[in-house]
Amino acid sequence: MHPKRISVKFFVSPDPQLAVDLHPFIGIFHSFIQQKTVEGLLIDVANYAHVPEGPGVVLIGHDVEYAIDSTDGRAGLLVTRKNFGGAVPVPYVLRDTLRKALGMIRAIEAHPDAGLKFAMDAIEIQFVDRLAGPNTDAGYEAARAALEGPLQEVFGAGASLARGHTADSRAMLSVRVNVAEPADAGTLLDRACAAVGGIRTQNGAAPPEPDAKPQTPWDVSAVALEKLRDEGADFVLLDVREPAELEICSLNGTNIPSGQLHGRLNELERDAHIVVHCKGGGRSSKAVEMLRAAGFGNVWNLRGGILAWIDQIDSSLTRY
Amino acid sequence: MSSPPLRWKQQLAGQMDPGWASEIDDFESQLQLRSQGKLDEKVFAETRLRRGVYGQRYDNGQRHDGIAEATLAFADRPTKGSETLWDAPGMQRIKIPGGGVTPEQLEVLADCAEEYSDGILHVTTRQDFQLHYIHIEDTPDMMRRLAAVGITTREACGNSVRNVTACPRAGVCKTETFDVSPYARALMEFMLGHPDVQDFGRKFKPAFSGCEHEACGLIQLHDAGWLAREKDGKRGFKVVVGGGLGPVPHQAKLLSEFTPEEEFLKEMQAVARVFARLGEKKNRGRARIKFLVAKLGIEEFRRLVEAEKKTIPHDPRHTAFLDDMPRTQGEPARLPAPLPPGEHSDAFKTWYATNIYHQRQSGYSLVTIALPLGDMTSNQTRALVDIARTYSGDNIRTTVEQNMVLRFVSSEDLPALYEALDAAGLASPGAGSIIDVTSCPGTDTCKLGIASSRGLAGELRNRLGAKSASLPQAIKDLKIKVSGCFNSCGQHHVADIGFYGNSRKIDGRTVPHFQVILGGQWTENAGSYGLAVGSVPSKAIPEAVEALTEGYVQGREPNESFQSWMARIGKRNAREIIKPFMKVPAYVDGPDFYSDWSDVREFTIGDLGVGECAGEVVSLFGIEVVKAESQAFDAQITLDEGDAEGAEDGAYSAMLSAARALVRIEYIDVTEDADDIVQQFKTRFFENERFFDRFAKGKFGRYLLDRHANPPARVDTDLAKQRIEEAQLFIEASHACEARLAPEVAVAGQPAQESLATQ
Repeated sequence: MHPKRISVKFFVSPDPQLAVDLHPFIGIFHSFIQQKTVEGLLIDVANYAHVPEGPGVVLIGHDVEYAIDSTDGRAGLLVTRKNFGGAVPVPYVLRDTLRKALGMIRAIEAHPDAGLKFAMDAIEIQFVDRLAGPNTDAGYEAARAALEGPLQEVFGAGASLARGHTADSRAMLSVRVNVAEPADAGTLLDRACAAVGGIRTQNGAAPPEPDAKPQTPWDVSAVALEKLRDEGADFVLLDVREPAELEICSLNGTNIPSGQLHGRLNELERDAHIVVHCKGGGRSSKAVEMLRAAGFGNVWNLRGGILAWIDQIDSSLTRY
Repeated sequence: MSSPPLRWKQQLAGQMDPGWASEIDDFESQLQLRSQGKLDEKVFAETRLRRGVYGQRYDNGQRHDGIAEATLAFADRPTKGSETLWDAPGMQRIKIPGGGVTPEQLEVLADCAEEYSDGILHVTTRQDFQLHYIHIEDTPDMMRRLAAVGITTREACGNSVRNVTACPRAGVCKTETFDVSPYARALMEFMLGHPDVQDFGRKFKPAFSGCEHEACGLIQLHDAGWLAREKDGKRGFKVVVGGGLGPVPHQAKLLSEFTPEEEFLKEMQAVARVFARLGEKKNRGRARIKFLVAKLGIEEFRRLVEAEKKTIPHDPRHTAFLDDMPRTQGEPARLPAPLPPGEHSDAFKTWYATNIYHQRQSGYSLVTIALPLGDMTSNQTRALVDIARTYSGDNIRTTVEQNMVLRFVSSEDLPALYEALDAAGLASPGAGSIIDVTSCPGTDTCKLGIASSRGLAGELRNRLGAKSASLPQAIKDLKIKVSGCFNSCGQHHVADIGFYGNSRKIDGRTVPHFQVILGGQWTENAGSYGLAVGSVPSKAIPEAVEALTEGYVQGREPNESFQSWMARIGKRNAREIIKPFMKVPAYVDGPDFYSDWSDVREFTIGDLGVGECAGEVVSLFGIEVVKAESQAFDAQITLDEGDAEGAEDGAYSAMLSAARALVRIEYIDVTEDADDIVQQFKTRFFENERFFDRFAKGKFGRYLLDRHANPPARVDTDLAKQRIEEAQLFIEASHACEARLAPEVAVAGQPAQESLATQ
């Protein structure tokens, strides 16, 4: 199943049935756009505070929307992931949405004007696509099969799934997740990031250089790469993917596919500053090790590859 | 290989009208061609607009985030039409003829709002629905889902016949001549995609009314309106043409005292042909039919329509609809019965007093669902559907006051219905009262918005709602309507108290304001328009409203309407009431004035037009333009006193003064001579397009140039009124031009004192 949109909702703690003061979120969300505090191509803030049990205040983005939502009378952070630019498998979208949601939660909880905490013991996942994810028994079974594994990776083996929205077949397919042993948002974020490729998200609350699992001793993050580019630093960006992959998305680096690299070393200068990337970091890690062994002293690996770049820097590129 | 993904196209095959289905397929192909750069962007822009696919604010990828102008990092793809970036979210307008929707249609609208928008259905001032933040790739499937339940978005925008509106009480009203709904439906079906309506220079908005003296269908402000009439036992219509709001509002003119029902479609076809042939095509600002009617005079226009009618070949569709009348009336779900006597809660009684209309069908009620700012959620929509199925059947309509109504509710069921609505958050009282503020989208999502109309409307609703129990009835009965700019989508001209957004440069910064329009008439089909009395900063509007309503309650004579009271005290006194609120404190004393309602960013009009930096901040303009404003104001008073010629001349002088104030920024020695001023204005500001508004282009500047080149031989009241409106807009445009010239004071990271010192 390939739904066009998926949403994840974390509920307000301690009591999601109490009304949330939405007004401060207009300012908070505008400041998140200004400071690029959370992930996504952020566009604007929509205020629906006048509508009862509605989306409240929404931070609108191209690829993701964040809402302080009180649909069904339960207040929480509703994060909707959309515009994937292709058919992306549900487990991947789920991990990615969780990571964005947890990043936002950390940013909100750290904000002095928000006055909001979120519970980690239950979430709701909705398939915002009635064609790909119908609210039927079969739809739920397919969803459960796709979600259970990745949910247990992040929330632990005790995470149990149940079908929501059973009373109204017109509502969206909903999966309610109960967590037996809740962890804090930071731990969940680490687990979600590990699952998506070892890169931990940036936000106001996270450390500036995410402490994700290294792929080589010579890793640089996507954020660091962007900084190099912004500074106009003199370095070579080496893309070791296959030419067909470049057509999907590219950072406009020099392309030498990993299989040909050994035979084309003469195209690179031994003392050049080189950053190598591939799709997710596997091929580039090997390339970095090989280049260093061949005497290239200033070679680095883009941790998480172009996927990390898309997630953290430029979501307008097509993910594959 | 996994199975190919499911598609709505296959899923809904056979459920859509075949013609509609193939139109949507064509649109999808055009969309793909454009995304590959294989279709001209202008052609594609008109194609998508004719399918109701609109742009939205920031869709050129530029947005002021409150600190700086920022570029939104949308992918580099072909545009959707000039300056509208492919990935920028847009608005989908969904036309609802006569406002009539069925439960099945509402369910699909609710699904689409959830899956493609943000879960909000918005009702417009022309009985449409709008969904915002839509991605263009989703639109073909959304159109298919709507088409499968009998809704088309074709000609919801673009230079076409727009949604046909009609009074939501049509068919149940106690004062109507007859039910106009089937006729509205017939016009919509006849005109949709008709070859004679494809070559208009501008949009065309039709409306139907059953009653002459109520607000009903507001036909006086429409491009064409049909008022139900009976003559010798035969049905027909009084027909009016050439009305319209917009920057320069026109009352519609009488085309025909009585057009028999079997001839009204043919007559409309003739009107369409005359408009398509003779209407302005190049200058969008003069292209609505109101300008053609004003230019030709209604007598000549009528003659042309009569002549055209004779050339139109016989078409069975002109009368076919009469064979299966009436057909829009759904079956009531329940038998009629009176409201049972007994104890009701105070909340029920408050709601009952404002939200219930007793239908002419005894024992049935029409119930208004008052929607805050015209919005409801998908969940609320489904709840409303369930309630409608139980209590009213298919009889649901949208209203031009951005509400919904349920018709044919048995009065016996009202207490249970109230409980059910209340549980869904849909039982707000005060429908049609002062708290039921109407507002266009404004700066929230509209590219043309200048100030936050929804922000102001929400604030007024909260403040007035909090004290509504203690408000005198005379105040409760007033109507407030807000537009984000002079284009009047909020219909501010026909409210007791109306506002449209503008801005003023103060203290080196731009401050959101609203022009206050008082004394417009809602009844008599929007029979007369209110008049501008002055601009008040957005943040002081609630106090100004309080002063106006207080002044009215204290000063009115028994049973005197707001409109009569306004006419009696005159605009000069009205201006005195709002004058204390017109002042803007310096930035250090009131920074709050420098941001808009429901927004925290420091206000800017940079999102509206691309700024132009010409150097020094010159405050001379601010001093000199005041003269123009008081001249325009005096011209209104002169007109009230019956001197049309003097008023027209005064309005012209006001434009000259504003132009002179602009010219003096650069050329201090300009004389008082009209030729000299116009010449300097023309070369310094008009010909190089510095005066041009991004959307209106040179429209406002041309008001002065045209008047100067061609002084009128004869002045009547209509012309004087029009000139005053033009002067008002010319002054606004001068303010906007000056704001673009003056460099914006850096907002962030700079102490306020320092920025003041640069003045």
